[in-house]
Amino acid sequence: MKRLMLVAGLAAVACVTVLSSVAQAADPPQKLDVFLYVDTVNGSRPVGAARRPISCTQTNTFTRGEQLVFRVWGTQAGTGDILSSENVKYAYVSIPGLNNLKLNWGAHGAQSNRVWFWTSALNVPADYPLGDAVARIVFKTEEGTFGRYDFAFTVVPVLKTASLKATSKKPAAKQKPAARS
Amino acid sequence: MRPKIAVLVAGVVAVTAVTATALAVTPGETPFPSPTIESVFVSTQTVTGPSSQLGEGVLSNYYPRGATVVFKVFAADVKSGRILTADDVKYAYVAIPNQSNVKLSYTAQVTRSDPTWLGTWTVPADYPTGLVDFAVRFRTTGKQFGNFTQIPVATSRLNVTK
Repeated sequence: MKRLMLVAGLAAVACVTVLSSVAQAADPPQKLDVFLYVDTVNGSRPVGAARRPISCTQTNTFTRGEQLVFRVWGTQAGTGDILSSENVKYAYVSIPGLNNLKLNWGAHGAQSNRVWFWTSALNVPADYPLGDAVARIVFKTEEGTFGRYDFAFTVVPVLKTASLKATSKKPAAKQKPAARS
Repeated sequence: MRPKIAVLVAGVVAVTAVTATALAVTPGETPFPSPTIESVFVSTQTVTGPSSQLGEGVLSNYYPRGATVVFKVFAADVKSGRILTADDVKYAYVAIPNQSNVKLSYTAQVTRSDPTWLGTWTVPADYPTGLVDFAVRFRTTGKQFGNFTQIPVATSRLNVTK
């Protein structure tokens, strides 16, 4: 009987330990070292699909062959300095099944009002799995702090609404699939 | 003689300070939204409501009249790095031209990248079509302020369609 109780006790302790560690892993942090803004827009130069009527509109739904552009800006906690090439060691986007995409610091917008932020473009491969996926944006600052952001996007066979559909029915040249990691 | 030395020292300090500031920003670059965020970091995405043809929760900046725009907002105290909760905030709202402010409600994060504040706006049937220059504003209980404005790329800004 004692042995049975001992086994039951150990099992209970193990269960609590596992649940506790799962809870800790799932808990979001209360403080961050780096804050990030992330969105995605449709790029103006898709290589495997027709262009949409308007480029650079915010969307997280893409078809294969379309150009998905990540736009990111952020700041360091403590100093409040905006993340730029001056204080970032590296920045990239990690996408399931693909090589990491380097984020580039550059100027965007109208000539009269150009602003600088981080971008990276992906031509969605012709064989990329349909459905939901999560891209992870990672920044490492020169101070050694990290910023991470998980961004959900969806790859669909066709776009849903007429306003977002491409202007031309004729697809562009067949896209060469991106290298897989 | 002493006042002259004091003026000279003050001048050197001032020049040094200006140079240090200039070095923090590369000449010719205009970081968005500004070279530094002073007190409260605020970011915002607009996603579709449940009745959208696109489905619920889809990132978009184009909304027809009658559609629901959901503002997903994140805010944090820059100095401490703390993510702002309802206890930290005196007010948080979306300011939309010619509309009542849209109050933001706090919602606890489940994952690191979740927004912490939500607000919804149904586009009135007579709202003018075109760009909507909204801003998100926070004030903390510690009297710190934070704002969010959209990236100045016209086609990616909130837009009302027919």
